[in-house]
Amino acid sequence: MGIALLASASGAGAAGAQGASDGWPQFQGGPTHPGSAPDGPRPPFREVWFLEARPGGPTGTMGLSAPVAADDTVVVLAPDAVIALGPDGADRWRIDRRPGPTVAPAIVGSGPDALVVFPEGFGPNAPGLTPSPSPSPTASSTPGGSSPTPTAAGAPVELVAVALADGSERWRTPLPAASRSGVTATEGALYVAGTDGSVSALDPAAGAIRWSVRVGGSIIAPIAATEDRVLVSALGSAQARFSLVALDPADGRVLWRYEPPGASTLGSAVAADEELAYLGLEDRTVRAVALDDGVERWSARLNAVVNPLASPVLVDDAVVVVDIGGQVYRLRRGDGVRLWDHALNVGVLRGPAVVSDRYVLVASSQGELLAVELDGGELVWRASLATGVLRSLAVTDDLVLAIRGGARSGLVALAHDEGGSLIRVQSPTVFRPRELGIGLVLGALPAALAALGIGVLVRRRLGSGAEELQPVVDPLEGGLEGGEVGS
Amino acid sequence: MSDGYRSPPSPRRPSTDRREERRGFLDRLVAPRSSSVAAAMPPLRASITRGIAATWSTPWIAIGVPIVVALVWLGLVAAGFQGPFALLVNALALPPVATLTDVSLAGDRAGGGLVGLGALAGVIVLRGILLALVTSAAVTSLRGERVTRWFAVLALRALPATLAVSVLSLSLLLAQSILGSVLGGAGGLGLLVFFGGLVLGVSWLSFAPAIALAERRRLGAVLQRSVRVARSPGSGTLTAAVLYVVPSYAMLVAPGKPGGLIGVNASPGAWALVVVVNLLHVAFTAAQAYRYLAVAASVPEPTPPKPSGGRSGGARDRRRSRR
Repeated sequence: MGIALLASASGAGAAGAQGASDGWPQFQGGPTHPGSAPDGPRPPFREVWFLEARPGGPTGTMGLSAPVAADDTVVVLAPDAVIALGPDGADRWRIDRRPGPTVAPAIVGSGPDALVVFPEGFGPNAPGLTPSPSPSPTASSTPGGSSPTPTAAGAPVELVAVALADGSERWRTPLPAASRSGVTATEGALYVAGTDGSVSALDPAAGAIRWSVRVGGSIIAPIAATEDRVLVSALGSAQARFSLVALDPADGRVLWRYEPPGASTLGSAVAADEELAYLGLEDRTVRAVALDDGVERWSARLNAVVNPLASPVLVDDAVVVVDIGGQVYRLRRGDGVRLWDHALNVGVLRGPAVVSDRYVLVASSQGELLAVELDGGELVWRASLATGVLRSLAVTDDLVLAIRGGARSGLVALAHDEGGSLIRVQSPTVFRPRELGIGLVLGALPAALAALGIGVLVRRRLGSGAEELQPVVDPLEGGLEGGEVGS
Repeated sequence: MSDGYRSPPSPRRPSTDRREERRGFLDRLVAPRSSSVAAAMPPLRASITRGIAATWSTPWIAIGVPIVVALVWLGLVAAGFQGPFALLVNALALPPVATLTDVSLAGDRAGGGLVGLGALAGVIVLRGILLALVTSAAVTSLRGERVTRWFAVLALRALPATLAVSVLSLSLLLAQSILGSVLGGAGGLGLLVFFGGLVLGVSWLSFAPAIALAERRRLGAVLQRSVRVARSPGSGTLTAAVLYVVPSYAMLVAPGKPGGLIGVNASPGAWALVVVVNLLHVAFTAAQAYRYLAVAASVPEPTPPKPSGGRSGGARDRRRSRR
């Protein structure tokens, strides 16, 4: 079972000089999920190459993972393959992968020792698979000697590391449960979460598990990691409320657990700086929680929720978030005060926004890519790139990478278009009295006058109708029984 | 023209209706149902036509509706609300349909906690005032009188009732929410509870403002009488409520309508839609007032409590006499 991968030559070679260099080796560009590439390309953009990938996997509907890039190599997971491409979209290598969720891999290290780390296998809850008691024949042993533990049904779940240079396998380690969080890599550790609420820390060199703990709930959002905190968004369930859990990187000990009031089930992925962790919640708020003690510092209200697979973007002294209605907000990091917002009014249901250069890039469910100026909040560029969903943005020095669905689904790479032009559109949330007045005069007034005319005509035809009404009783005069009459 | 009141009715009505009484819990609470109301109740279509004639022909109402909507919108924008503007399609709806919008707006702006509660209280009071004004103008026009600025003074008489209707509607939504969350997963029962609550609220409470305006009764008696009219067999009040609630809610949630996106500068199309729908709400409010005024004299008064010898009264008397 696999997806058909067809190298498309659309613009291949045109971006030969536009290398995918260091900068986006994992979900949102780093372990703290900054989501920002100050040296990334600026709009307008043009498509420079495209990798076609039809949906596949057990259900036939799974697309590619969020792309990652480092050392002039772009890596993306298909349901049953790992694909590495050059900066021009040409194939570097591709290897088979045991079918599993297409979640963001991580690139660890650099140079010849760089590894691509990714989870594989669905475990017992494989979508569309008949449970099977026998382990997959492709399971192999880890360098450390431990063999994979087959799960009750479906493919065993393992974390696999291959060389970034050629895709050769370096190690594989069994995991407690299938991972939908993807892999988070810091300098000295890898973190991966399971859908069963487990969090595992591994040694990136050999893949040995250092510790594994259960934090409860179900984890689908990528883990964020700072120097002294591992931050996990655990979804709520019938047994437990949604919580943001901080673990000690050394031993997995729970340092604190933040259970936000007003949000019991859903929360987004986390982004963190030196002091605060930021996340969106189901009650349409973004909250900042102190890394030291897990105490909430501020809460800012949005017009809609942030999707659970997104995380806020950290740039300058601000947090940038996009809600599912496509409204972009720039909030002050210190207190959550809204500096500007722009209502794009497009669905943003898959993946977070990113910042490239000084522009917030938003991929919409309608297949559009939109760029909003970071400083003023004005829309400066928009283009339709897909007939289906556009999602999972990644930014390198020269390219913006995105996954698109619809008729030509796959991985698309965009570069700055010297010949293109920008627009300048204010947010519809900026009050413009003249525009409002025009609406009132051209819309409300004619409607009211038309109603008045109809009303007068109907009344002339029917008469007042007062004579048809029964005279009303004044209970004061009658002194009715029953104590109904007020005094 | 008279002052709108007539001489008290002869005391025969309760005795003739008593034969038709079906004693149940609600009968004891709000007095028995009476089929005499149905005979006098105008058909729904004729009532709505009357409602349109009475309200849309009145400049105070036809021009007042867009002005009220504009003022509400400017107030909301000043409070930081960013849309969608189309949420105001039910700005002048009858509670509890309008209460849905009230709760949504108060929650959006103030969130939960004490601030949210305060905002909700403010919105509920505003709702009561708007409903009193609309009903006052409608009743004045239905009586064939000219609607002058004094309709606002007359509205004061209905204010306690309209405030009570707003509060009761809020309580109804709260009860709905609790019951809906319990039944939510049980095959759409939650949805049934939701719409059932709205229909029941409109059916039972929508006559109260007109009663308060037309008759000087205590608040409790006004509400009891409103329920009594609604429960009259064959009066079609439940059908009218269903025909009102379903399109009103559909209009609120319909996708793709003008003004349905986030934004504070509503387009002409959005303004036209919101104004027309609110004029229809006002016409329906007037239609309900017309329906009540047409049957007012046929609505039975509650049975007076028996002085002694009754089941409960007798026991109480016996206890008293022992002391």
